[in-house]
Amino acid sequence: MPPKVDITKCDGCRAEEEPLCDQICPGNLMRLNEQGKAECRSSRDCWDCMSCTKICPQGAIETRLPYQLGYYPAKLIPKVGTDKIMWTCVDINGKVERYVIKTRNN
Amino acid sequence: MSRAGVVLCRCNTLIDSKMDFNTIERRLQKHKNIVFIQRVNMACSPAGKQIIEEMASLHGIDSLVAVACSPLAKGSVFKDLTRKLGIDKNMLEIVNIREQCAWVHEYDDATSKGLTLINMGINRVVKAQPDSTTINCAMINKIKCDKCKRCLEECPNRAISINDDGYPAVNPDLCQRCGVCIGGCPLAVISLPDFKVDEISAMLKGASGAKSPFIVGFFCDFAYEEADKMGQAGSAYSPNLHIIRVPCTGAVNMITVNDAIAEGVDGVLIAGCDASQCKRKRGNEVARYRIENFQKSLEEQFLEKERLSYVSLGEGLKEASIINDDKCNRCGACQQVCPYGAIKQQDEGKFQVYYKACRSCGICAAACKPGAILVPVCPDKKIMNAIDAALAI
Repeated sequence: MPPKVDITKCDGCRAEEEPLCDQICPGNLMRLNEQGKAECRSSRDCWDCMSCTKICPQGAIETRLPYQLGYYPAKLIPKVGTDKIMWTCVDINGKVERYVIKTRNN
Repeated sequence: MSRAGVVLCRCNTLIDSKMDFNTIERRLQKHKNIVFIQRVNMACSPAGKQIIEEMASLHGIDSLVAVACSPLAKGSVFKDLTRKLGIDKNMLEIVNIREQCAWVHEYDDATSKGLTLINMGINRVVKAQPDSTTINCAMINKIKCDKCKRCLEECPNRAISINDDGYPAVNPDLCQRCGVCIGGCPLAVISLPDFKVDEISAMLKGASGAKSPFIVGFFCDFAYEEADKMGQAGSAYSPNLHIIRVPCTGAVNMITVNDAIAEGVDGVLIAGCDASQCKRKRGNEVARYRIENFQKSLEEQFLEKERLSYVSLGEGLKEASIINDDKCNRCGACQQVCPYGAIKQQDEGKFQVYYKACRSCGICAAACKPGAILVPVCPDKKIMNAIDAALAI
């Protein structure tokens, strides 16, 4: 399922030539549209890697989960710190769980 | 493995009568990064400095944790001392346990909070790296920077420009070391010599094992001074608040807040100057914008938005100048002289003072020829009474 951009939050990284989601996307799928907001140019090519969701400084991008994993209310929200990521995992019944995973950024 | 020396200053019984140094020493003994713990009577006195120098040369330390009074009070003494000892300036951490711990809390609370603060300080110096550069301005780590140019827009002093290689470069002459670019950088690659995002994150790791709810306060330089004044006045507040000093509220990166929440910190308080009176031009304006965004994302994650909140100091306590419209001859001199841009002409020709921007300096009152402006802090009548009293003697 493709990333969904919340256009009220996205500021297109202040309309510079390449937003952060464009730089990070391994398939080079993100681009800026005419309004200066990010969008996914080809949703069927997305691998659900969630790189854009993690990098977005505004938290404007949400990756919808594939239907095999969970229907619409299910969500996976990352919050990136300096050396750890906190994942908030919501299942289809609305149960919230949190995991803190260490990364090797530093 | 870092070799840190801890100096506990008794401040001539002003500190150790209010908290239990024996417990603190016993609990710190197990710490693997500490080489020695030295209790001195007065760390800022020549005798105290000599003891610290002897201990430092005996154990060969590479970082120093000075557990003493506020860095605003005797910070320069410790900076001089580390320069003399040959320790890098980044490897010194002053833990303020006098004004913000011993003087404001009860005996047991002060001991447990002091221990947490010292642990946070040790975590910071363990994470710190010595830095040979002498230029005191914001630095950009080019390895991680991805040229998003956000720092260019956020800098209030326009000190950052794009180099020929496409990376941003800081002009050291224009940089005011406010740190607003640090807070804005989405990848946290900008740092100041004395303020680095990864050091602050390491400090937050000291939160584990402390009393719940654990609240971290990021106080800007001016708010920190006010917190010190609370200690000097002896007024008490909750011992759950652990204050970290930042140059400006705009310097708090939301990555740090993410770290804090992931680390188990229950709440984050950001304290800065009054809305329009940011001493760093627009630091708290961008801080408020970021905080609003972050509160929305907290709600999306099913957390309470009150976990991150902003307070500004001195709101509603000011007395602004007043213009008497009957006397005013609409010359506009006050508008021209006001250094804060607080006086504006209304549509109908009246001049009005915006109380939020006014700082009661009285320059407008002196410039006003018909004498229409009254400064409540120091009115003409008060001055004349003082002159009369002086002449009567």
